[in-house]
Amino acid sequence: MKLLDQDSTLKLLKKYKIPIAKSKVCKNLEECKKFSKQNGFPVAVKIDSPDIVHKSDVGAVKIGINNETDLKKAYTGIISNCKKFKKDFSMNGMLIQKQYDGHNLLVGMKRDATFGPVIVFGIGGVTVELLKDVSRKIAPITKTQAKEMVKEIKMYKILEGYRGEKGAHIDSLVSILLKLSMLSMENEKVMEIDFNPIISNDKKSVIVDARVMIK
Amino acid sequence: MTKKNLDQLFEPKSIAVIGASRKPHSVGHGIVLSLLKGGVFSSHDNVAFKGKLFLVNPNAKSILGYNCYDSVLDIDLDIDLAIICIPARFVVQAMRECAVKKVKNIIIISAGFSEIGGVGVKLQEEVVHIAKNNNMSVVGPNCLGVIRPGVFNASFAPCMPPKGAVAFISQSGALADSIIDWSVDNRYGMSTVISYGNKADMDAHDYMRWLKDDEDTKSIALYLEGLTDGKEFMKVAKEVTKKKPVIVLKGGRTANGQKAISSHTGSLAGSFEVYKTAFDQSGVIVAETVEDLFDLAKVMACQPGAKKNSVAIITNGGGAGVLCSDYCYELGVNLAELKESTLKKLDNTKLMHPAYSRRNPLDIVGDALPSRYAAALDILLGEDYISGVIVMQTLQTMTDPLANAEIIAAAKKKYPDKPIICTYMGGKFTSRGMKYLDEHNIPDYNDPRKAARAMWALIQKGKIVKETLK
Repeated sequence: MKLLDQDSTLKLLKKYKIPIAKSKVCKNLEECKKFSKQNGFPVAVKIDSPDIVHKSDVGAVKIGINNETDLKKAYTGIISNCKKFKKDFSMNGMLIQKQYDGHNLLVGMKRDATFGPVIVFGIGGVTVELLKDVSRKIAPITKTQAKEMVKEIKMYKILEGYRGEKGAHIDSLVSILLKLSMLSMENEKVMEIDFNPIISNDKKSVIVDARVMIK
Repeated sequence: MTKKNLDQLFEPKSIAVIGASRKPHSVGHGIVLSLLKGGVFSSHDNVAFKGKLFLVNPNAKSILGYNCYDSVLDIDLDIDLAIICIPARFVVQAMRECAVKKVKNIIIISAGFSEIGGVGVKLQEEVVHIAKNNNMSVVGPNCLGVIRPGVFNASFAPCMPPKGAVAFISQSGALADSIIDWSVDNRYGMSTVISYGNKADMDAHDYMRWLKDDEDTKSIALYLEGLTDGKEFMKVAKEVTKKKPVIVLKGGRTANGQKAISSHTGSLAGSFEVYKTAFDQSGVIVAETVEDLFDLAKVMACQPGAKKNSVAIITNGGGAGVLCSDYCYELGVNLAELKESTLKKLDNTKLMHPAYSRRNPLDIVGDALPSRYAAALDILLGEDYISGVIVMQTLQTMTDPLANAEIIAAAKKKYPDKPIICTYMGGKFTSRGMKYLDEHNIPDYNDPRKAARAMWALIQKGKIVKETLK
């Protein structure tokens, strides 16, 4: 299994109309600046490199960047961190992304040798493996099953809007689950997918980080 | 995948034993005894196979008074089922002869196939190849065989289980042996026992598909460690569970098989979680322990499903009722809120203790005589909003376990569509009542959690029935 590069990942998501946060793989700092001028701050930047899988572990992700000075600092910081991790790491570019506020969720797929694609939904972020608040279904799934998946997690009440807090956008989450189900049924070479996190607020759900593993 | 016709496997009129043996402790001798007497160990449940039996052994003239044939090809009559119990290296030849003889159903008891790797894998592939080309169905290899209690024993299990409504499909043969021994002692009835071993040709779902339409089978208990074709299993399981309950115990739940976990989702979809997801999605109930597997299979075979998730508990002991309510809550079994009109009916009987609980669990107080049990049971079962009742009994000096059991059996007759589960807590002085309940097919557990779990299972059964009617 290997990690699909960012460009092909974006193409694959686009083909299935899966919404991903506005982003661009930039060749240099100038391109990053141009992107944030066009789309506005805050932004996040992270390395796009086949050598670096767990980006946040090596300090290859910087979030909450609010101006050009911080953007420059982040850019150079990431590159030096990556060099520390692997001196001759190969770099496709720097991924810059518009940042959104909302609930941190996860949608994923794992192709099981016995049952085929298993779709997973749950609370996302870095604590996902600790919380394990997830639901699962074997693909292909129906709309009813996708809705069940969202409702089955323990934190569902929070997604509905708990004690005056804003909830998540359930319809768009259901739609992402259905599209992922279709994607995994139609692309047998795709072995695993992580959309983590997906940010979902009362208006929409957007994928912030997508990792696709292929055969 | 093609649908196999297994009628001749489970209802054979003629059987050939290839590898019948004179040696008293050999498998080949045990199988002959199983067919002739029902088992190697004598038991009241044993019956002899009533069809035509042929023994194949080129080195023996006769075994236990039966003439031996050199080959299955020497037999004049058609053979419905051949049981092969010769060393693995001769099995391929025996399969070829069965193919020529047009035997469609084969049980291969012999070990020494895929489970030993290397040459065994090759032999197994050859067996499957012959089976596929000749439209044959193979049980095993490396299995115990098949038993139809009350009809025949085509296995080397020690004896036959009592005849009943639960079909047991087991990937493990040794486990099946012990369960059969246990079933005789505990009068646990089975319709079928299948040990399918290496699943070279047929996997669990092939047997499930046949059992779906078997009138003697009311529920299916399944022990499995792994499936080869998960998608096909799910497809068949969805069909079967619409008609009868399937309960599974999965071995290897904690096996840390795939270490190569490279994503978050990978770690969240481990082997057992995926199996559990597949079972849930196909309506298969997942058992927690061996005991749970057979408890649920029996209660789901013999009792009606609860039409709603709204049950009542009747108890003569506060603590027992509290425990049972806790378990019900944890399992998602809803306790109905007793209506004012129900309480009025109870009051009007003039049989209630002044301090009875007036809510669910209905505590009818320690001094409850059979008449009070009878009134409470009749009133609660008569309410439309109550879909089933758990009757608990603790032993006080005035308690009459047998009379209470008679009342419960009578109530069961009057309300055959509503599940009644008993929790007779006790031992020596309670056992007469327990025995009566058992004889009248009313589930009784000495443990409130088991009673709650049984009611939960019947609520699941009720849901399945409802979805089928949709």
